[in-house]
Amino acid sequence: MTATRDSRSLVRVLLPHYWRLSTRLTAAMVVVLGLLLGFSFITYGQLLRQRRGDELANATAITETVAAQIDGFVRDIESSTLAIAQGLAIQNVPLTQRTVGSPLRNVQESYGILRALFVIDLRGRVVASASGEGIGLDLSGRPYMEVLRSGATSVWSDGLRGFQSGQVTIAFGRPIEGAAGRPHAYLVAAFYPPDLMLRLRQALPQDSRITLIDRQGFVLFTSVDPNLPLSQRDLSSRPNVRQALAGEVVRVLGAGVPSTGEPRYGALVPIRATGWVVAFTRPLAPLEHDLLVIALRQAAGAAVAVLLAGLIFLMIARRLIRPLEGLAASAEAIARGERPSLPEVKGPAEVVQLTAGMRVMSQAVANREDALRFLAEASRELSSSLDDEAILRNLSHLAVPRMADWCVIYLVHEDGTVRRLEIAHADPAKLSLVRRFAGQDPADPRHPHPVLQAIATGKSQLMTEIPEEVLRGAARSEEQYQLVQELGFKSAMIVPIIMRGQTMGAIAFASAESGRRYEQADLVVAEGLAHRTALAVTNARMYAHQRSIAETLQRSLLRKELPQLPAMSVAARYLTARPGVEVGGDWYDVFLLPDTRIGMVMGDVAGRGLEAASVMGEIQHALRAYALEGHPPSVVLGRLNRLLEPKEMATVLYLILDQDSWSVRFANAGHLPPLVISPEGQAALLEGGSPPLGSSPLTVYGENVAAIAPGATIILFTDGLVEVRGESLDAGLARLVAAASAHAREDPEMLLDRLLSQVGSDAPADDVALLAVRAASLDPANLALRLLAAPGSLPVLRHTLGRWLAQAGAGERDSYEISVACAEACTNSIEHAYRAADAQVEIEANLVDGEVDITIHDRGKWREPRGEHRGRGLALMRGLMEDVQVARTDQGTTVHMRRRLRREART
Amino acid sequence: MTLASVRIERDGPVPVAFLRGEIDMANVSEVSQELFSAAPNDAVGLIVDLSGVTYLDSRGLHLLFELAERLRVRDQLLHVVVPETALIGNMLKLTQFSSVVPVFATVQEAVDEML
Repeated sequence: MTATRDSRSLVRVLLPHYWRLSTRLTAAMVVVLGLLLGFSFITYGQLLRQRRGDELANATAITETVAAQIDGFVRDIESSTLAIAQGLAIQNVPLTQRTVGSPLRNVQESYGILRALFVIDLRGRVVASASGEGIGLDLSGRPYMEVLRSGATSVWSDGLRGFQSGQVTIAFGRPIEGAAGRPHAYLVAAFYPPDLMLRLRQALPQDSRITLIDRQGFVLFTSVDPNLPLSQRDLSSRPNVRQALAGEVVRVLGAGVPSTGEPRYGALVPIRATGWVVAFTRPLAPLEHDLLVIALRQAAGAAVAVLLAGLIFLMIARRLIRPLEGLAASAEAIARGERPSLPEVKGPAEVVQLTAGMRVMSQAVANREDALRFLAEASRELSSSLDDEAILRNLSHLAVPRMADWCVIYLVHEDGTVRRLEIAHADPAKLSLVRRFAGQDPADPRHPHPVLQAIATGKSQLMTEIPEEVLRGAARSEEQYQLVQELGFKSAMIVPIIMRGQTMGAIAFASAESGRRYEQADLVVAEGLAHRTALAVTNARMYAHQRSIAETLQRSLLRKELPQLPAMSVAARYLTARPGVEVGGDWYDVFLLPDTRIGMVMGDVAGRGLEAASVMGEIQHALRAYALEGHPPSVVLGRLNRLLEPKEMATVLYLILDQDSWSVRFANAGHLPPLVISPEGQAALLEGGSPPLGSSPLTVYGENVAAIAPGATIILFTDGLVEVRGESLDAGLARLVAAASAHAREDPEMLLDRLLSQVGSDAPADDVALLAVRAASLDPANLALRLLAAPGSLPVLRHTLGRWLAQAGAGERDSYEISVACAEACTNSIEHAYRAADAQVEIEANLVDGEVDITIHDRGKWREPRGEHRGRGLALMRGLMEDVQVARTDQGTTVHMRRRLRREART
Repeated sequence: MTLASVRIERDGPVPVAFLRGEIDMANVSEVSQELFSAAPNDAVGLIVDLSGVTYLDSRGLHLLFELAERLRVRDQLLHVVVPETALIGNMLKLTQFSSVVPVFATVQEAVDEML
């Protein structure tokens, strides 16, 4: 695991692997956070609306209170002035500064707020004032004066510009009743609106603004700016102001009254007594700010909570993912076939549990891998041998100590008995203890032995604990039982070896000192081993069977009996390739043609095994048939070529050795050339060849003739002799020529041995076939022949005898007649030797001083002549030869004949 | 066996069998089959030319005797042609072959004599 961590890139270290989970958690957090924020904004909106409603109601109430206060104040002025006016009327004195100036002053001072209090006569002139100023001032032009003079009982002016101050002033006038209820003067009180408002405002919040508007929509006073220029004081165009002036309570949300640019809220309330409107507003901002702060605080709280939760998740993820990652890496390593040591994890319980599970799994996987590896190795080991008993012995040694302390192989023999083939244990001392009981049949009729049970039923036996009675049943004597107990067998498995449905044996695995307990999983491995063993044994037996068929076929096709001719020796060798290689398609053949020329054949069929061997058989027989029909080599090969099935291919060399003309005639279909060794030791390969058989049906095979010296040796061979791996064919051929030359004087048998040892490789990759024929001149003085007592021998006899006689100087007639006489004798021998297949006829001829002396001997018994013409043979012999003697004994019949060669014919 | 061959000529008035090669116990029965079937029932006889025979022993003679006998049963003649210098001449004399089967030096003589 450390290795995998090291191999990680820096990026992965910086961006930990658990990032993926964290990303998911973060996304979840963002969603939760978004939901929370959305919720708090909705709440905020609701709160805002509610708060605004509340505040508006509050503001309206305040406004109404203010309006009521102003109303009270104006009503107070109204009632106070009424009292003064009534007082002045009652006194009924001329209204002058002297008379009323002082009381007016007292009233104004007691009121405080009044800026002016004065009396105006009916013409509109000031006649008296509290301050004593402005006497005589003509106010008849003032609107309120016109109202008063029209007969009103009281009048409130709109905003006026004060005479002295120039400030906005409010005046209230009422008539002073004279006699008969008619006014004879007017009392007017004037004050500044700000003075009034200052009185009120003390109870109002700091941020509030109060504005007083007269009946014309003119601002009498505003706390926004007490010195608001007159030009900005006309609010009559504003809808809420006009609505209020119409007598309604109007709520304000938005711009202030008058507008200051900032959003405000409040109310406009009409003052009943005067028809004025009082506006009270407060800024919206602080109110909303508060709410926003609350909302933001809530959102922040939620965010912090979510972030904290996220961090906790991350911590958990980290704690969870780190070990999980390690486990995942381990799992990958296990999948790759490695065996990582799983780390001890101190993490969450789930991870610990998972680690434990993985450890169990890893162990199981490792065990299974080991088992598979073991089985694969066992397969290899088992199939390395092709000997079935060796395979089984091998098996027992494979099993110890890997699978068992003890491994015993049992074999079912042909008679049905079960016998122990092999027992294996690591310690030879213990083995020798047990071997004392070797060969004893494990059967005990009272206790069915588990091995016998397994063989009988074909079912495996698993004994996790070997029961006592099994141990007792397995022991045949008290001594053996004690030994069994000493060895301390613990657990055992017995698996049958089943080959093609037949139980051929069983393997017993037992544990002792290792204390191992076999489980079901072990049984599976044991059965696998048994199965592979059965396969290996089956293969070995099949291979051996097939190889033996192919070898038998091949051997049967190779000449066992080489033809024998006087002065001719034939030797042949056939070496199979190293073991494990199938038999090849090499063959050789040597036969006498009807005219006693010698046919020599060497061939090699492409391919190996049974198939090649059978093709080889076909070619060999066909070649022999064509050859015996007397066809020349080129014709024989041409016919063979047309005979081959498609895809069959073979190289063939067919050579005829003619001892009469001392020449060889051959056709070579792609085979290695014939080697001719002269008696003097000169070796040469004979050139000339055509394509192999089967390469093209149109091939015309050529023929070559070469003269040979009497006594020359002709050697035919296959490529197995000269082909050495890593070497050119020419080098091999050169080595062959050199070796042949060096050993030319050895007899053919020895010569072939020399060639094999000096030219071929020690372990030829291919089969090696070698054929040697050496034909020498006959000895003119003596000829000895031993022929099979069969009709086929007669031509050999005639021709050999003819050649010898010719060499001996006999004329044609002599030669012919002696041959007929000999043949008659041999024909008799053949006829009488019919009982024995291998009966032979021996012929010996000597030439002494121009006289031929021939003895023919066989081991049969000649019968008396029967039939009209049957005796003619003996008559002929007697007629053709000068002296004929027939001696019949129990051992056989001997004919002795003589004839003097005619001198005149000898030239 | 291929040592001997039989060629039958039926162009003339009498079928002529030309024997070539070596006749011994190994191939005598084969040769006799061919010779027996060489003379049809309506033929006067059969002429066997032994000029090309390089070997003939008692089995071959026996064959010729038997052939003559079977032809005689069918009232047919057997004439044998053997050149005067033939190696088998001595053998024929020894067995008194000509006392049973007429022997001529040429095929023409044998044919002429038969007609």
